[in-house]
Amino acid sequence: MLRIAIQALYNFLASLKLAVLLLIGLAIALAAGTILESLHGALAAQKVIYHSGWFTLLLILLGANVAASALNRLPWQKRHLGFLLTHAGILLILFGSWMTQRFAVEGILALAEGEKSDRIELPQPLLHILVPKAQETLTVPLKTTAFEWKGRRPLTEAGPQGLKVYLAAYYPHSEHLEEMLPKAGGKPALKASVYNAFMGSGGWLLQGDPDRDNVHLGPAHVRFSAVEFEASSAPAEKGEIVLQAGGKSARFAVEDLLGKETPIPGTSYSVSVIRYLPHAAVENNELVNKSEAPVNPACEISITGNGITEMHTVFARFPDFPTIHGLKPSQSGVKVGFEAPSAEGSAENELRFVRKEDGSLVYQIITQGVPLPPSPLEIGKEYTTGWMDIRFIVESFLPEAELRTGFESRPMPSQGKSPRPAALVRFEKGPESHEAWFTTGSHEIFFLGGVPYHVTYGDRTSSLHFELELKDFMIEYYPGTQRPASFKSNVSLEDPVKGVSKELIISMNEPLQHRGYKIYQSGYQLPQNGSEVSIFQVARDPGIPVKYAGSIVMILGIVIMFYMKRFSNQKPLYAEK
Amino acid sequence: MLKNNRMSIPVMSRRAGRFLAAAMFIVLFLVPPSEAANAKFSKAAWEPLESMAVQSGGRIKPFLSFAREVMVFVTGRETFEGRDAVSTLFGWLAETEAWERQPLIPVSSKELKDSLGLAGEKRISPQALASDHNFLQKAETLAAKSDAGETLTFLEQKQMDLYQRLNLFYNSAQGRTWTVIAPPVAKDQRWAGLDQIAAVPGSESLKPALDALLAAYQAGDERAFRQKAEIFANALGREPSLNRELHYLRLHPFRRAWWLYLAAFLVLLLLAPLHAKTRTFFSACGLLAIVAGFAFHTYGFVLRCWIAGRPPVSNMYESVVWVSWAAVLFSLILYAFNRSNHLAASAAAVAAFGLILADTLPAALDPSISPLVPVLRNNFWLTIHVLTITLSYGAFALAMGVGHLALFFYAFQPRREDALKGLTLFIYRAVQIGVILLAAGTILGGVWANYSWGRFWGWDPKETWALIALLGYLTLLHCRFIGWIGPFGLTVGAVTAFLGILMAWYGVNYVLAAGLHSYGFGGGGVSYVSIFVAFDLALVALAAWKYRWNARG
Repeated sequence: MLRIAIQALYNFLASLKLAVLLLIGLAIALAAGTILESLHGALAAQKVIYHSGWFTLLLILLGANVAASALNRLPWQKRHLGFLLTHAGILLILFGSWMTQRFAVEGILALAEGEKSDRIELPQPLLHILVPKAQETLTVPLKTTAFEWKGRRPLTEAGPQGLKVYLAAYYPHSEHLEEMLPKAGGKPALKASVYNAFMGSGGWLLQGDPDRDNVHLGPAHVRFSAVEFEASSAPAEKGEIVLQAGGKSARFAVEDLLGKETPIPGTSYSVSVIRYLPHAAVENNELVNKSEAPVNPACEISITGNGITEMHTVFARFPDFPTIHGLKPSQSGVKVGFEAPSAEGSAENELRFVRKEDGSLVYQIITQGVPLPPSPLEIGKEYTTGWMDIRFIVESFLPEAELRTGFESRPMPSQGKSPRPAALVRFEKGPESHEAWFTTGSHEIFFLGGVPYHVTYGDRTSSLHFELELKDFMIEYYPGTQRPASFKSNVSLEDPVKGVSKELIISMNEPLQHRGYKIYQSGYQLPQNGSEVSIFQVARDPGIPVKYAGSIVMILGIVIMFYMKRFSNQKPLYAEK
Repeated sequence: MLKNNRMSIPVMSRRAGRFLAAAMFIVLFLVPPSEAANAKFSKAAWEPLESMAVQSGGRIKPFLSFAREVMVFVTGRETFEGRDAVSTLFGWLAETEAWERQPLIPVSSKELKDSLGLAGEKRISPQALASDHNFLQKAETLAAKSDAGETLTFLEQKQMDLYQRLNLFYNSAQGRTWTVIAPPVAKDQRWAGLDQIAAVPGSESLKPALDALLAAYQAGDERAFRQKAEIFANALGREPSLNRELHYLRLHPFRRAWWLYLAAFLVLLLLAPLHAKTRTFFSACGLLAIVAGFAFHTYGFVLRCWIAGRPPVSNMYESVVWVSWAAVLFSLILYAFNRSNHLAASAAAVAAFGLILADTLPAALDPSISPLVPVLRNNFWLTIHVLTITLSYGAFALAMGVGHLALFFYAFQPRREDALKGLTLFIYRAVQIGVILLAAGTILGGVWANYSWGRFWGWDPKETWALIALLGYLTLLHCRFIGWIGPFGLTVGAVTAFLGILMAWYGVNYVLAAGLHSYGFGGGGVSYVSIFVAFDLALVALAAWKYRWNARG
């Protein structure tokens, strides 16, 4: 009885029907994986499909099917060669994949110029808990999830000095958010939106906090103050004309050039400003001035000399626009630019909210430093500013408030952008508890039961047992562009155990090989200030030779099966009928 | 019956046939591809300007190449109202006031039209756009938003795109993008544009030369224009190494190739006997046209390799050209074993279809030659991997093409078992070739990944879909082996399994990469491709239904 059951199972395992079902099943699972990746990122696809238990089971079943169908043809003959090689190849590839999953190491090593390190970062986030007084430390791996998760999952219940640690929420991709909450004794806060047909933005303003009491929303400056605006007496500045010719540049104040021919140093040309238009606009193909407010400052300029006169129109806000009239290449070769004062300074537009000492709210519109009288402000009512059809609304007001920050889950970013995971961790000790948000590299210090705890969130690191130092990072660009053509790193390798000490170059597709590791040039960072950072991908994969061998055997088998009749004389099953 | 009818076409003597075929070949060879007229002057007058060297997009290229790229970017086409790219671009420079009033810039989506207050117009003039103050202001805020790394909505992307087209028009009209002036010493440094013509040291002779050229253009004097153009181009300095690319651009090898393929397809389908192995005058002509087309196709490909200094399979345009080439190559190999007009006709149709797409949709399939990102450079395994995997696409495309012809027979001439037997054999053979190449190519992808960043397999969508496509074809072969499907099932399978290839080839880049949820859906012609695929599947379903109907009756 048992024999029959085993025979039936074996026949099923060796059957072509199972093979076809597995092929179709695999194809569907993989297609689902790519769609999942597109929607929720690579991590989700790996957790739910590629590295899941059931997918592994599917692959094991495929391996069993491939092996059984080969054993089923015992005793093997010459005509089985192609078929057998193909199936042996598939088994080898599957075995190599298992070796990779079991033994491979993959990590990142980032080095700034002059920096040395022997540790790589592995993609395994963990919490590092330190009690400085007692010199006690604990490292807790963080169990991440593929999707937004909230709940209570113990990370450790035996932390230093009786600490218990729980994961309360995990977002694979998040956004840092701020929240204004009422709090007795806090500062007054209001939430305003400023918008017109083309743009809109808004946010909280916190009175008396220099970082948070004013904000640029679109072209306007919005401020929440305790005092009303007082006009300053300084007149608005018109700005400067910048001329470039023959590799030199000269600057003139617009006022000085208005209607006055002024020679340009180093050339035989002179320049003058014909018209200054603080609020330039095109109407009926004519450039006209709409107001005296410097909304869109423009200058009409003439450049005269050598028997020619060129007319230019320059816009301060649109420096990329061609300036010349007549639209041939400039005869004079003089490049014209116009720098008007930006919206900062005394001449700006400002929308000011004021909470007076009696607790009443007013708003004030200040155009080019000229204030209108304050008017009472109602929450939820729309007002107009008079600038470019911009309107505003104050959505809410809190007389006493406090700013709290947190994280909110977001859909995965599109390919090419890396996700920003965030974890909410709860620490408990006796009746006391503390909650904190962590993202990569973040650090939190808190006291529980009078004991100070330092907690850092980062990736697990692993030692290479040899040290790399970045001596120099070099990058070349395609001519005339900012597109990198190649980049490479000059590193020195120190391995005292093996007695190796050498200096070498790691470049794209030319990795450093040492002790079974391959160290690839993968990326770089060029900070504005500070030294260049070279990023290396470090990998060790003992499964590779097995997979290569399997691949060669499999392809050889397919070729024999298709094209060498002597070794592939298997009659199709349908022909036997 | 039909067979006898076909056979009654008078068969010429061998000699006369050869003569006529040769004559046809010569005519096809000599007729130049339709070239847009160069308004104002004849073609020859523009030649000196076409050959000027420009530094653009990270390499030195002939002005003809640059002008076509700028035209495609600004207008979406290589020509404008019958004027070719070089003369149009020169027109922008010399007669900006006339050209900026022309409706040059395409406004594609309805949303975008609404935001600009346009009614039915498909295009807008640069001047109208540049005087739309609201639009400019909006574009500035979008640029800031985009710089800050924020995601733009579909409409905002379109607006940014429009703004960039506008800027490129004015920068080109101003001569700023005409980076033709090489620094006297270090040529790999940034070249200067025409707007700096008077400011670049050591190039004093250039300005008078350009002025004289503009004057000759204004005067409409063709001889003088050509002469001045010659002087100006000489003053800039010649780059003889660009002659190869000029030759490539002027020859239009792929356009000639699709003409010949199309001619071959029509001749073979309509005039040659459908019965596979019969040779007539027309079947000889058809075959000759395919071979000639293949010669142009190969020649163009070799030229492009030579110009780019790498195998040209780095973007969609190049891969479409290469896959078409592979389809013809495999059909010729199979033809050597089994001479069939059907096979040749199907291959010609597949290749002509691919090359027509590549030739007529420059905005979607960018024909420009651009430098590669560092990780893809000098990469032996990448080259081998991509060539192998795209060769397999060619084999599967051939199987799909033959499959369509076979479906036609199944639906309308199911009794032609002789023809069907041949066609299904070709499908089987082409699928076999494809399976070997796709399996090898997918594995070589792993070899490349291991070589470049130490990872054999990483479930990247592109490699995963190559595997899915392979699994699809393996399922097909196994099903045929078991006998679950017959020759008709194989035919339907070869046509539908190509969807897997289409997904790996096109869909991963344009459907998945954009993210099914993002605003990018619809970019890259996804809607058109979807409609086409749906239409094709409907045809397959119709043929299957007709086949069953015939079988019952």
